[in-house]
Amino acid sequence: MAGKRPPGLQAIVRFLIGISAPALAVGYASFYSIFPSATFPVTSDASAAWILLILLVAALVGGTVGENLREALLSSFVSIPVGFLVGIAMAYAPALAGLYLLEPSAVPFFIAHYSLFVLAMAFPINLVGAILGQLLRGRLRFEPSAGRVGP
Amino acid sequence: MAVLLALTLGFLGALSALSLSNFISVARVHASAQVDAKGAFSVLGGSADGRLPDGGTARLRLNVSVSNPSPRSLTFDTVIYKAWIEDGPREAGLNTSRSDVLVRDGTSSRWFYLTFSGSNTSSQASVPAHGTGVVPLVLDLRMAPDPLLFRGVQNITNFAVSRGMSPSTQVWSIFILTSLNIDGVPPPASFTAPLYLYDVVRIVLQFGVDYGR
Repeated sequence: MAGKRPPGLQAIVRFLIGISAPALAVGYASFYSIFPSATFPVTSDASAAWILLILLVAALVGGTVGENLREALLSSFVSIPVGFLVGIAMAYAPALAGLYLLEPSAVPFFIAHYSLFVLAMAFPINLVGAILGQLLRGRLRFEPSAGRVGP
Repeated sequence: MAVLLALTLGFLGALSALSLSNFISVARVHASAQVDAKGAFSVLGGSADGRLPDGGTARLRLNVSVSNPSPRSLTFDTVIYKAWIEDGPREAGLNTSRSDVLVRDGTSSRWFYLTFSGSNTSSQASVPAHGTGVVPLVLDLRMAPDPLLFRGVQNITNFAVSRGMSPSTQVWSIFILTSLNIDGVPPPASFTAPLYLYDVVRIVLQFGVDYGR
């Protein structure tokens, strides 16, 4: 009993775990879409296919964490502004070494302006990912127990 | 599902870490590379005392060097140069008709005559990571094709010689504006790419002051 967490706390932890993958994906995809030649993988122009793949996989995996569809959808939508903040933090990273590729005060506006495509795409992709993630969660949850049914 | 989540987070974390590493190394190039220029002036085909005859050549050797403390190598793209020679006759009040530039330094004023200007895009010299790269430029001035310019330099050089100075001790003011491409950072291929992407893939360094003209 002592090791059990209260249901409210469990939901918060699940929520935070649920937003981690899609938020990191949105942050990375925003950053990559803005600086494709200075990030990883290095490309001359940002690859839309790569961005969509990253967003979809992360949304799908994030969608499997929620206990139900409502939780999964909430996590997937909250992950977008959190991911935006991750993208801003990435753009500020060189400042930790005293380097500035951009004027520090302009970074948030710069990231907001040039990551609009990624942020806009993240809404429908996270929605689809959350639904597919819940379907995947349902299959993974019930298939083992179905195997144990016997006489 | 926990394994799937852990694998996804690990993959995204690795992508983000590699991206940050690349981004910081590019930012380091922008912040740390520096350009320097050294010039050596000489008179070719001159008389024994160093005067510049009509058939002679005024030569300025410029070594444009870029020091690169960053972990990325660079390649010279364009070197734009301007070189002004200090106009001794003008400062002595002997020849005030030349189109010189006046350079004020505190209380003193000096006159400089624009002798060489142009650009070089053919060197493609490389600057190694944590190293220095040099583009040597040899700038020659003869009577043809610009006799007026040559006469000006001839007057200045011969004036210095008449004062017991060697042409090699002439004072020059050098301006360099050079752009270098960062290796491993490809320029955008799309025509609709935003302009800042072109600023990310290359650096522009300046040495000296551009007095115009």
